[in-house]
Amino acid sequence: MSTLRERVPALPTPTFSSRLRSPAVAARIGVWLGLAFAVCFVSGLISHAIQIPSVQGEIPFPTSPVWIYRVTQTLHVVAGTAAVPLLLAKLWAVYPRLFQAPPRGAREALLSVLERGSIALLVAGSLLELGLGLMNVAQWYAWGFDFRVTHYALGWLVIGALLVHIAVKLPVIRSVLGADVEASDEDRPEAVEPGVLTRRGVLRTTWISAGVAVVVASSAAGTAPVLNRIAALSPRSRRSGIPINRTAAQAGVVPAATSGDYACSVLLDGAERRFSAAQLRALPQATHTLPIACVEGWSADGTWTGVPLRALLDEVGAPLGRPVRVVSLQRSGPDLETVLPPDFADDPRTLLAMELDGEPLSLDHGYPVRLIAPNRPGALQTKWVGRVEVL
Amino acid sequence: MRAETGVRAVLIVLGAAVMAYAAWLLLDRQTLDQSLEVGRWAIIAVVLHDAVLAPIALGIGWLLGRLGGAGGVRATAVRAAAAAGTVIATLGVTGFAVLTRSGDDAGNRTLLDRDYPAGLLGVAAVVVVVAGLAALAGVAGARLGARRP
Repeated sequence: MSTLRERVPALPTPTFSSRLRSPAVAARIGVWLGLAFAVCFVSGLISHAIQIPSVQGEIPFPTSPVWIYRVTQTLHVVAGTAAVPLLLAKLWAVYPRLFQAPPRGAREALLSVLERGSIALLVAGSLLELGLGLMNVAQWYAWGFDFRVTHYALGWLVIGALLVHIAVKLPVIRSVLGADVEASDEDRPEAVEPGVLTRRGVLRTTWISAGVAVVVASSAAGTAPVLNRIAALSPRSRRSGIPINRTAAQAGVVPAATSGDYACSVLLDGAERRFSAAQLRALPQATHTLPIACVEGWSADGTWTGVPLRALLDEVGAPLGRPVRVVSLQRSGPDLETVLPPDFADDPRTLLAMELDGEPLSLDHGYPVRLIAPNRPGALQTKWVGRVEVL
Repeated sequence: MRAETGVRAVLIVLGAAVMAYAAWLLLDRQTLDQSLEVGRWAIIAVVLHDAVLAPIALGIGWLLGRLGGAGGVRATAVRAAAAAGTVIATLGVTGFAVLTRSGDDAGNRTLLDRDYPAGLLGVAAVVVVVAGLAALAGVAGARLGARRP
């Protein structure tokens, strides 16, 4: 009795005879791609932990040095951008395996299906994760799902599938990384033809592609001194000053922010005091140079002037060591409010800023009053502050 | 060998657990329709790569292989073209979002504030010139080496 496989004519499969598409090349690119994914994952977890209110109180984050958040998110975007050419090169090197016939034995076939399933999740998750990240930085939301939830979940999916992939391939990885890149011990039998480049040439081209992508296309490079001049594909630049994520018009906050009746409410244990812009200016002022750093990888130093939040809290008699909620005038949005842990609320550098770089705050930067604190994600530096609640 | 087997088993169990957690995150924190849309986007991403990008790369590689010889100036030029083409193509893919959305800043002057198609062309020109100079240097070096006794 003939088997199903014998009765069904085999699909024509392309022949990949180039010896460049080899485990020796794939594993070397894979090492760097794995490192890039690891950096993205860890830096992503850090940002996620800081931005989820329920986690903020559980995992302390230091107020100093002020560049920690900035560095982690720069690394996140740099590694993610570098991962695009690395992933494309890795998939190019292993593309012939897509057409490999499954093994004949039932047990082997089952194991093959499981392995291919995990690779399918790894490839699909990686392509989508990087694609969504690039689209998010360009604020291109062409989907109906929640970006933050999906980006976070896919991060876990990719790391899980990567662990399985490393486990399955470990013997081959060890074999090819322990030998010269030109060694052919683990090559497919038909992969014997020389390619246009040497294997070392393929690797060099891949590293250069990753480097060029970071320098030319990352949002981090777009706002970095010097690099911003050559970051031709960065979604951000410094041409219009410090970048902003949401304009006052987009937040629907223009009437409230420009109202002559503006006042900032301060709530403490059921009592409320209101401070007009002039009264806030009459309180002790301070100036600090602090970075504003976005999860999207861009960051910029600004010199901010305003009332130290602690001075305002002293004015209403709030004790030290209390968390503080800062609420925007806007009606909705993910950046509507933030809760400052006690060490951030009491830090003398945490300001209710009214000036940026010696000029009154522009409407899009949070006029008349915005929060600026050291070492915080940009989305938590609440703009158009309308209320301060001592918790 | 036994240690490696143990490491592999741990990695598989850990990886499977992490993937299960990811699936729970994906399903639990948004509606089923949203989760299904994520699945559709993942399929589109794979199809775009496996059925569009990869075959194009395959075709260009095949063409370059036919053009290049075993050695000489033509082979050097083809190698330079392959390297430059790879850098430019991967950069184009990396910049797909800004290239597609070029000029659409939704009223935010600090977003998408460059001419991206022109930027890609400019960088591509620089990459081609650098690759060409590197190829010329390679050819000149090879000829100098051949003349030496």
